[in-house]
Amino acid sequence: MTSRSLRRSGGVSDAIAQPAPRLSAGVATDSFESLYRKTFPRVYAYVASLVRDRAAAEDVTAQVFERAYRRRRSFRASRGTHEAWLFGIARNAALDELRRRKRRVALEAEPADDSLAVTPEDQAELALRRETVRAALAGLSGHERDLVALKFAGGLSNAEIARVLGTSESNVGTRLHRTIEKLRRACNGTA
Amino acid sequence: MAPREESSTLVTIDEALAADRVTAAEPKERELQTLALAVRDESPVPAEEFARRMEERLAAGFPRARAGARRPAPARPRRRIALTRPSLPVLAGGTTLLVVVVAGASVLSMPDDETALTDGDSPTTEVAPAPDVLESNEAEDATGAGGEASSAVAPSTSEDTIRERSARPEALPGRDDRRVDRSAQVTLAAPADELQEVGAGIASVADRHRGVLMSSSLTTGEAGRGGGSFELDVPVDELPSTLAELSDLATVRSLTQAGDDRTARFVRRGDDVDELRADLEGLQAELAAAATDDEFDAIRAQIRATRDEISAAERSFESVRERTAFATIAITLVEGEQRQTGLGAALDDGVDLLEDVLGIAIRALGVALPLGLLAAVAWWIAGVLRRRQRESALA
Repeated sequence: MTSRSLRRSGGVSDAIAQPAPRLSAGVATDSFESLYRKTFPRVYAYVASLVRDRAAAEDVTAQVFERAYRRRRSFRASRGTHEAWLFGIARNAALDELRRRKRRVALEAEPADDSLAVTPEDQAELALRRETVRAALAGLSGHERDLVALKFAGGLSNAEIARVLGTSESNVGTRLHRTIEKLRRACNGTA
Repeated sequence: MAPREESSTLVTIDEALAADRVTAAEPKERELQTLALAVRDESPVPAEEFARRMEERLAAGFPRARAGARRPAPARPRRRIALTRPSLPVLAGGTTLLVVVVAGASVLSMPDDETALTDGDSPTTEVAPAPDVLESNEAEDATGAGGEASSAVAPSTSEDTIRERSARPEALPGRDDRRVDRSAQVTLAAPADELQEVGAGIASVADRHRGVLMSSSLTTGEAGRGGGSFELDVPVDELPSTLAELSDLATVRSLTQAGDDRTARFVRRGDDVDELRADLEGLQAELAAAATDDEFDAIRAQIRATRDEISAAERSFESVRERTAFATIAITLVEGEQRQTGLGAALDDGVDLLEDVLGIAIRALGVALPLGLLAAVAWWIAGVLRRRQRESALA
C-alpha cells in the first residue's frame, strides 16, 4: 500500500467504482477483508478528524475493526450499507474516546505528502491554502466537524451519513450545505 | 436557503470528489469544488507502521489487543451497567415467551371445573341425599364434598361422565345392606321430529331394566311446544344403567339424583312387628290361663287389637321395603336442537376450546402488552440518552 493510496481515500469515487458486497445478514470473512481494505484509510481519517490525536486515532481505529470483525454477523443489509454500519461503529468508538479523554488536542501536523508533485511556486500557494482550510475547519462546531469528517474523510454518501447519524438524508444535505457555506465564508474571510 | 441551490452545491461537491479534480467551469462552482478537495486533502493519513500492524491483525483475525503489546493501551473505561438495546427479534421473542408463560400459568391455576367445557345445554348432575339419616362417611361418599347436605357437580358435556357418575356405587347414597329411597330427575332434549322416537325409547328402556312406566304424556306436532313427561320405577340396582341408557336417547340437559336413607325406619318397623308378635304370643298364653269369662273377654279384645297393630306394622314395613327396592325416575322431555355427535361434536368442542384459549391469551396480553410497551419505551429512552450522552462529546 503506497502513501498515495493511503492519502487519497477515494471516498465517493471508490464507493461508485467498487460497491461494497451486500449480504442479507452478516459479513463473510473474505468480504470483511475487502471491506477493511476499502475503508481502512477512511475510517482512520474520520476517527483522527474527530479525536485529533494520532495515537488515540490509531487505538480507536484498531478497536473499530476489532469490534466490526467480532460483530460482523450482526450486520443487517436492511439497516444500510456495510460502510454505514462500519462508520456507525467508528463514530461510537470515537465519541466514547472523546468523552473519556476529554481531549481537545490539535492533531499533529501531517507530514508533507511527497507523492504530490508540486512546483516551488505552487508550494507557497498550497501551504497558504491548507492553512486557510485548517483555520476554517478549526472554527467548526463539534457536530459540524463530525459531518465534514464523515463526508470528506469518510467519503460517505449523504444517505450513508444519514444512516450513521440517525437522521434523514435531506437533513444531512441541508446541514452539509450550511457547513460548506460556513467553511467557504471562513476561507474567503481569511484569504 | 433555496433547496435548488442546496442541491446544486451538493452535486457540484460530489462531482469533484468523484473525479478527484475540479470539473466545473463556473467560478463559484470551481471555488466550491476546490474547497471540497482541499478539505478532503486535510484528512489525516494513517502511518505506514500503523497500516502494517493493522494488516498483521487482519491476517490474524483481529485478536484482542494485549496491554503492553504495542503502545500502552488507553485506560479502559470504568465498567458500568450497560444498557444494551436488544434486537427486535429478541424483544419479540421475550414478549411471546411472557405471553405463553402468563397463559400457561392461567391455565394451570384455573380450577378443574372451569376447564370443562360448559354451555347452556350442559347436563347438570346433582346428588342430594337425606342428611338426617346418612352416616357421615356415607354422606361424604355421596356428596364428595365433605358431608355437605347437597352439592352441585360441575356441568360437563360428556355423557360418559354422567354414565360414570351414575354407575359409581359411592356416588349414590346407601349400599346393599341399607334401605335407601332413591329417585332421579332427568331432563332430555331432542329435536321436534325425534320426540316420538325418544318417548318410545324411554318405554323400551323401562322394559329392558325390569321397570314400570308409571305415567307418561307426550305432545308432538306443535312447533316449539313439543315435549312430555314420564315417570319410571326401576329396581334400585338398575338405576345407574337405566340412566346411562336414557342419556343415549337424547341430549341430557340436567340430571338430578336424590337418596333418602330409610334404613332406620325399616329396622324400626321390623322391630315393631317382632315386638307385637311377642305381645300376641304372651296374650295368647294369658288367654289360655284365663280364670273368668270377663278376663277371657278382655284378653281376646287385646289380642284383636294387637293383631290389628301387627297388620299395620307389617304394611308399613312392606311399604318401606318396596319404596327402597325401586327407584323413581322422573323424565322431562323438551324440544331442543339436533344433538351433535362424531366429527360435528368434536369440531364444536374444538371451537369452544379455541375460544377458551383465545380468552386466556387475551388476558395474558392484557398483562404482557403494557409491560412490553413499558419495556419498549424504556429501551427507546435508554437509546436516546446513550446517544445524547455520546454526542455531548461533540458539544
